[in-house]
Amino acid sequence: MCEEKVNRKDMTGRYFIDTREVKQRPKFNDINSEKNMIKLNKVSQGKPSIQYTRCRYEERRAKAAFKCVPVLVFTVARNVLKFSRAPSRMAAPEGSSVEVLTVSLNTLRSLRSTVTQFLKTLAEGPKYENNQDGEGDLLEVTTKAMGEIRNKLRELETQMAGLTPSSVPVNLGNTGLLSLDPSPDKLPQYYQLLDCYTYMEKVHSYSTTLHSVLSANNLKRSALSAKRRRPIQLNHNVPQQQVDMLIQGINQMFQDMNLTLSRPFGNNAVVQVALGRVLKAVVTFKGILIEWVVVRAHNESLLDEDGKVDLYTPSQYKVFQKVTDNANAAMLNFCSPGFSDLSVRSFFTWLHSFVSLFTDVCKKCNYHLHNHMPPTWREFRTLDPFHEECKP
Amino acid sequence: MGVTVLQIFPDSSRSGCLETEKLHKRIMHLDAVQCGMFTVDCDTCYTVTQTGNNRKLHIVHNSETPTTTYAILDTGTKQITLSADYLFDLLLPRLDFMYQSKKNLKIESKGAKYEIGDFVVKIGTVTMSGHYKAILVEVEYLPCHTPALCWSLMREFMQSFMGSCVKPTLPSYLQNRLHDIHTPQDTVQQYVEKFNEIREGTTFAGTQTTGSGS
Repeated sequence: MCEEKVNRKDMTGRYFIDTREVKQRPKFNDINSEKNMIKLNKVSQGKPSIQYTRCRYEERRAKAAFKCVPVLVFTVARNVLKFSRAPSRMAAPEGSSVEVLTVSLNTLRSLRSTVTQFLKTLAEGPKYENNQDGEGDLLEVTTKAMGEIRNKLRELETQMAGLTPSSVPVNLGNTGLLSLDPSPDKLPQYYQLLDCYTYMEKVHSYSTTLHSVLSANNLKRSALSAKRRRPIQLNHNVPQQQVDMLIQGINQMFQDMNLTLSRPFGNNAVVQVALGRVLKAVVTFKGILIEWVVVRAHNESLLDEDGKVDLYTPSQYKVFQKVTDNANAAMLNFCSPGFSDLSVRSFFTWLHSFVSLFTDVCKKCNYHLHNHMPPTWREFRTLDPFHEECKP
Repeated sequence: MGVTVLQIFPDSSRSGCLETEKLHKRIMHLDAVQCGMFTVDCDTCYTVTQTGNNRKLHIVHNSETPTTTYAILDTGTKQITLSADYLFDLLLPRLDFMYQSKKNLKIESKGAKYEIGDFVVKIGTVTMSGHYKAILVEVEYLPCHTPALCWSLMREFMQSFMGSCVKPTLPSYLQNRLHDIHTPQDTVQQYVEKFNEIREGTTFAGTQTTGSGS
């Protein structure tokens, strides 16, 4: 009996209780309570005292902790499985949708031919083997044909309902025209391109979800709740309307800042900003995130010699070269792929604070100029102006 | 071109050399880079109309805009500025019947040009028919075009190397044009105003200048 108990307790023994003491621990269930008391005294004499009730409590705690471990393991395993299952889940409807697509295209073709037949019959008259004329026959033939058409149309409608649009809209822009290449020995470039873009988009979305899962605290129950999950945000393959709406919203935020949106270089937006009479800027987007900012003076042109928006030429004035560097730093600071809306708005609010570039004094030294430069730094949180050297 | 402000620097020695040297040294201490010379000259012609009003025609050239001749017609109540091609000078002999120029009234400001950061500083010696008159400093801030935005910034800069001769109040010329975009014509008009002051002797080098005008 004693040995059995020792074996059982060896599992928990590594937490709190020494195996030697386990052997010496008295059993309260014994009839000889006196013996137990003697044993207890012996324990208390020679060793640093571990009270029996305390041992029991710690035992219970250890068991509870043990029970938690499988829960943790389970949560992690579930999330991993979710990710591994997701690609197969994504692939399956795509595969079946191609079949549904071919079937519905065939139905469409047969419908077209039926309609053509019907119209031909109407135009030329019904053709019979026994060469009978009459309006009644025409009526019969036409009603039959129309019945056929109706059936085929219903079939087509049901098949269309079964089609699901691609879950990840891929905006390829001009490269999507590769699909129109009619050459018989077709190069697989278009499909490879589609695969590439879909893969990249999946990588982005999975990494965003994984980031939110890993940063959550798994010991809290809130990490498991499904309600808190935000819908996965696409950052690079967003529909153009979303970017347009965002820019319009920001345009209305400030009276003295005007944003003009254009797409001179394909799918990605380029925004020209005019801030009062102080500065002009060109902000290039990649999807919904900002990629590059150039700030120039009010009198410098935003267009280059060909009339296109000039994205790269820096300003000729030192103050605006500095502001460009600071704007790029701010853009990186505010960049957060999970909250792209907020990051873009924060950036433009920060940029708007430069309307007082020449009029404000530095908060630290209370002067306009330091090294012949006005305060070109704005704190990210408070929007206070500082010189480069006076930055906190 | 940015916002330009002119300031007459007080000169007690009446020769200009020492004060100009002093200004040069101060500017060089601020890590300025000298980048050439500049000249602004002004020729004035008078005419008398039938009503007896004195009209002045100022012909101004600025080395910053070498292909332009400015003609400012001063009728006493208003000023009309014309920016014309450099060849406008060839038309002037044809206007001799109306406008008589007095050679001894040709006034010019000549000196060195310095660049510090985004500022351009021109320290010029004003001479009238070869006689020294005053020291005229022009400060230009290139990135900004609206005086309202950068006046206090420019004043701080000017005070840093010219000291207390820079008044905290706005120059009279800029007071009416605080929110307009500054053009080269505004610069030239400021020069004409300063030259007029120097000619009349209200801002003579020696006294604490900038009496009523600047």
